Amino acid sequence: MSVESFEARLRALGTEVERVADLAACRAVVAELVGTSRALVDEIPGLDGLDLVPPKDPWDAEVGISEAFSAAADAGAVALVQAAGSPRRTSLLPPHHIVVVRAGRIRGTYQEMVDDVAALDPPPTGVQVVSGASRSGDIESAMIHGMHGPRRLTVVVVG
Amino acid sequence: MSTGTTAKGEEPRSTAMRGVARVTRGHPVWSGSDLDPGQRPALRPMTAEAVAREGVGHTRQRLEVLGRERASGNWLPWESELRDRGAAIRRETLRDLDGYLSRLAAQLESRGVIVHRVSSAAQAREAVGRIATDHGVTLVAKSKSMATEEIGLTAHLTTLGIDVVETDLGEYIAQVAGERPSHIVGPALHMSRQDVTDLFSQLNGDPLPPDPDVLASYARERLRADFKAAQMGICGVNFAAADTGTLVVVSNEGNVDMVASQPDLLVAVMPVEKVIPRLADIGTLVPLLCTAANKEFTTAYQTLLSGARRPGEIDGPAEFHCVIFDNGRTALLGTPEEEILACIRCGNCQFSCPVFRTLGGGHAYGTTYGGPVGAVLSPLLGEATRDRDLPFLCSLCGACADACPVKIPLDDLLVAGRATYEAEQPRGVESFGWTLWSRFWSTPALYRATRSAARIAGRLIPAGVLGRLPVVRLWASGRTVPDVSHAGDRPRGRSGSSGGSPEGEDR
Ligand code: SF4
Repeated sequence: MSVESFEARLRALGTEVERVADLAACRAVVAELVGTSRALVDEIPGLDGLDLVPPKDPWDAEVGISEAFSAAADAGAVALVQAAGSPRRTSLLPPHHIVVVRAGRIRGTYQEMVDDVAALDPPPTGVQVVSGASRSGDIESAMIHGMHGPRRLTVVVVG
Repeated sequence: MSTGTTAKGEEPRSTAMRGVARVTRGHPVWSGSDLDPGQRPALRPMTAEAVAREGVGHTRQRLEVLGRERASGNWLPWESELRDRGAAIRRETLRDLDGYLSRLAAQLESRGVIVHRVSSAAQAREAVGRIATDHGVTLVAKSKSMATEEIGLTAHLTTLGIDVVETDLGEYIAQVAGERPSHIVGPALHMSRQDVTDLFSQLNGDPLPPDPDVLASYARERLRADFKAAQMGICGVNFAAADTGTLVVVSNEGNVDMVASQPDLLVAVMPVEKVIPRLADIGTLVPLLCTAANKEFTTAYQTLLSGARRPGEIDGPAEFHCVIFDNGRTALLGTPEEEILACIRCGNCQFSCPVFRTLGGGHAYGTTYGGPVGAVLSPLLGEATRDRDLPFLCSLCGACADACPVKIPLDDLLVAGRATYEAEQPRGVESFGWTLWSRFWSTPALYRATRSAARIAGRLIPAGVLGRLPVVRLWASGRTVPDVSHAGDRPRGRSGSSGGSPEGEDR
């Protein structure tokens, strides 16, 4: 139930959604999305073996791939925990961000997702909650996409 | 992370502010970012200039639309529930503000954050200035923060020879124009697409097309160079969770994450009331803030910061400071005015306010915070001796209180602020006049005498002249002098009254 409403909410926010059965299928979808682009990839358990081209300078990366720690259906939001294998740059510097979300991690509400994050002990140095691509309405309320963060956001739901 | 675009050994300087000397600044002194706190012009000429300003009509129209869209004061059932919970959390915080602050500071310190608790605005900006100079910082990338506006941080760092660049698009536009933000959430709301085009074209030295995407790309490329080169980031704080020591910042553009993760040094600046009891409370407060501010359930990003970089991490700040300042706030605890400390800075009261909209935004309040929240808060900040007349920029319509997501009785506070102002005034001609009036109208004989005097005066002196008499003139500016030649007559019904005065009568 909440997986469907999560997907619907993501689409309403302009986020692309892919639904796959397992990690093997996820790997194939991610490989296809990335192609030959220079990529920043977080350590994602079970998703190793992706043969991707790293950028020389992280600021030149074209795509970033991370995994959500938790997600909220009502907000269409994912929570990314920043740690040694998952730096902040992955979700921030490239113009396209791909987030892998395991279906079991999807909560119904934003509050439940926040509760998941708040229960982490010790709290991670950084958590980024993402709901849609980077945007700005500062010039006469005209919506601009990809202001400073990614212009394109793809969520791959696994399971 | 601070490799920058500059050659080795050279101090990094702002790319985004290059060409700013080419920008001709025609804005009035009271909208400028260099307006000294407490040095604003008198309310009357300042507001008169604001309503007569070129282009204000268009700004007003935009604000009307935004006001209708957002600040209707009608809350859907789920929003009302959120509002109840949010209002309760903010009051719970205020009941033990000092306790929560101590817990917050202890938690932050246990995660390696260097906490500076200071009293005044001057101490707050000096604390940040010292951190910057100690590290030899020459370029600071900053995300939007009203608290840093309040303490005059950018001006202070600039006098220390440091380049400070605002990275939120609206705030960058305001900075290039040399203006203060005109709205808490939309700093450049007072500007049209064409205004921004003209501004960026001057900055560029070559014309740019009036296309928001092109203008935003122009800003993006320039600001990206500064994100990359900055040695220090400065961010504000929306909520600071006492239980986990987590600072929460909401944004849509992604600049907060840049500022808080790419430079090696980070300073978060917050006034005391940003503390909340538990991190879990953002489950209520973030959707409430975003719904009120922007009619969206959440912003694109919520950035949670809980300490400096740990071993193995390759970005995030290596050194993390948090400056917590008071600037007159804790003195409000236990008074009716403490209510304003519940504010979560959504800006909804500003959209809802007919005075704010008519003035074309918050500049003509001459202070950091404009609109209803500003008219209540500004007079209470600092030593509480300035801007005491701001509560008069209010029509007492009460729309702000309905629009407030945390149910601050803004209208009551505005009335109270007026009473305080009056009580503080030296007893002059006006109060002498009122004393005399109450003396006369307390007995029937004297009341009748004043009535006859008014009738005679009304017949002898034409109303146009009456309005120009010394004392009356003061009172009559902004008011219509009534026809007094029939003073005291029983009303004869609306249509029966003939011979209206040349000055016009109340509608
Ligand atoms: S006073 Fe209320 S409506 Fe105004 S900015 Fe603060 S929270 Fe928003």
